[in-house]
Amino acid sequence: MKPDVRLLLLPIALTVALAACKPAPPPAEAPAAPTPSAEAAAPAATATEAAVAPIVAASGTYKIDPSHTNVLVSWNHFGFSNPSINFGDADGAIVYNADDVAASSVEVTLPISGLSALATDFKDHLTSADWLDVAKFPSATFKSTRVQAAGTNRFTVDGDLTVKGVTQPVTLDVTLNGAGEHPMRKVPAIGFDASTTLKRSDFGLGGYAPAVSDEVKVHITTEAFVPAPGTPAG
Amino acid sequence: MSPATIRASLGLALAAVAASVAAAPVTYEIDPSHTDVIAQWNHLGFSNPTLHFSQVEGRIVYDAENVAASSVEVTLPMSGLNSHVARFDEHLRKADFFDVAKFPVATFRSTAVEALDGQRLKVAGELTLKGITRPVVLDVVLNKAAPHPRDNRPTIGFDATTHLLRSEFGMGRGAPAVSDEVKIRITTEAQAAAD
Repeated sequence: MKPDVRLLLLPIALTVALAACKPAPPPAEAPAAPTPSAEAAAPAATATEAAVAPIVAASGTYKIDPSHTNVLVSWNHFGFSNPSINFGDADGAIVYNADDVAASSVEVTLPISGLSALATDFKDHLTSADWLDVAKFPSATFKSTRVQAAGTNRFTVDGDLTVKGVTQPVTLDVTLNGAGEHPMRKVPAIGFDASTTLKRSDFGLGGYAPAVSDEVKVHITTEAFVPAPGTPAG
Repeated sequence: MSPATIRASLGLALAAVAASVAAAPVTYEIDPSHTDVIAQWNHLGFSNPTLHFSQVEGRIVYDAENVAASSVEVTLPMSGLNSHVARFDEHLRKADFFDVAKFPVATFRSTAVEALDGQRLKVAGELTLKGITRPVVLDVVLNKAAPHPRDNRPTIGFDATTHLLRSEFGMGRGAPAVSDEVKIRITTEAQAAAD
């Protein structure tokens, strides 16, 4: 094998191995859990904490890659099913400071036009004035206010979430999945999963609760990279 | 036997018949607007993206008294594939991935249903994807079985999970940098005809 190929494969193998070693990512176990409140990944993470190797990520400002970023929001429908929608086309930046985690931050805009639902008519309904009112509130935003370390490769990110013109504090439980040179883009890349739980009624979107759960679970996965110098971002 | 006793016995007998009718297997039609099949993989160790299969059609036969007599049969039209990224959807429909022109649907058919503790079931079956049939086992949770509050029709809901290797279905391109293993999470709601 040529040395440059080895150099390329090594970070991939490492990141894949790291991803494989860590406890199941938060989104994986959610829907199957019979008791939603018992799903927290924290106990499993604590048990295997010692075995998790810390991921070394380069400090920098990473641009969020919308084609590898999902914001899945799920709820419970009359106790029967747990449907979800996705907020796509995410636009934003993650500032990662390896030496001083508290100096890290994230700022994201989620255009409501990027929402996808199982059915087009449901999307139309959700974006109408009754619900997200895309005409008046074309995007949702998240701006971090505090980033704290929370164990190996884990963080707690507090921030302000604005949906439909209403701003509420939100705390994200974040896992650093991997970091290293992006094998195709050849620039530093970083990836996270994150989860939180919200009450949709806090944003003026409480219709049909509690038969359709007020509580919604948010599962985020994101990949971001440092744009190559001199090239347009994205 | 006094007429009153006869009437009472008759009532009991009728009640028993009604109970046995209620316990018979019930056939539920899957509600595509509340059924979601999510596939998730790992991308280069960085992210864990998902895609959905929607427009799911099929039926669930559930026998509460004899769970082993239950079954499920589902068709997933590839027109319902949605990765939330339009350009990626186009790629996924091509021959090196789902080849939807040649294989417009995937199907799942159960072969054995086993009751586990509590509300859990194990459903073994055959998944046919891109013309390739492989055995798959679903870990299933019965969420709820009750009349739907809106129309009173008997309604049942399940969540299910499993893992697949996409290379086993002729879609191994990019593995292992993009994980061969794909996690599947299903949520479904199904309704029986009104009594």
